[in-house]
Amino acid sequence: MGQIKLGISLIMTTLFTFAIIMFAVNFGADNDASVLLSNDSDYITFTDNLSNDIQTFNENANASMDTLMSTTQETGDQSASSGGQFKVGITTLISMATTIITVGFVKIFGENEGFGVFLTAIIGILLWMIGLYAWKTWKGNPD
Amino acid sequence: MSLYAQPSLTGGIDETLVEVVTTVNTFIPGLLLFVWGVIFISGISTQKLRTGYSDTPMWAVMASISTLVISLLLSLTSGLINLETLSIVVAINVFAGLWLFLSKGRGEI
Repeated sequence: MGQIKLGISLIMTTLFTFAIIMFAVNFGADNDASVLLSNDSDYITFTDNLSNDIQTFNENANASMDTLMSTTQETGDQSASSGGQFKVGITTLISMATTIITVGFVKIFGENEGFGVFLTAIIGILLWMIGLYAWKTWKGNPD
Repeated sequence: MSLYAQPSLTGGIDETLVEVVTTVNTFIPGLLLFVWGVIFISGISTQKLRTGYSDTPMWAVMASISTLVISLLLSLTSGLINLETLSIVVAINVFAGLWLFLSKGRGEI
């Protein structure tokens, strides 16, 4: 799994999640359903967090693009070593992924702490993969 | 003499269904699981038969979305489906989407 693939996957998953929940909520609202997904407080908190993350991601991406466009380079200058433009959104992406996994987990397995080991393992694997990709990007293939 | 109390059919099909669900609480989750399983298993087996390759995450998403649509229709009448079941169906949709997008390379979807 490549770095671009992972990033695009997380973005697409976020948009898909947002679309599915909004579809369910709006279907209930439009048809005056007797069982409403918007009555579930977990989902309301979840959509709020997700939309905040998306907004932060959008602002960061725009700010980074502005910085990149306004950069000038003279003959003989050192190239930028920080790579800041290419690190945009990593924290919000991780936040989106953990939010999605958490709410899905809570809805399926409940609030029982005993099942928390699955969630810890999933998030741990995700962070480990992201760490490996970061290492691979800056230092070459870790294999 | 019947083995079980038969539901009253005079109130229409809606009330009959609600009575059935009230008596057998797992009827709707069982029905949804059945629909999910039929679409998932028939989808992957038919695709494998025709093309030699089965796209399991895609069929999980197809089955989940179909189940979600049925759940939303059931949510229009009070007493057929409860909020927990609807929430779990949405959560399974989210997990299936996560699986689908993480399983595909760029340009594959």
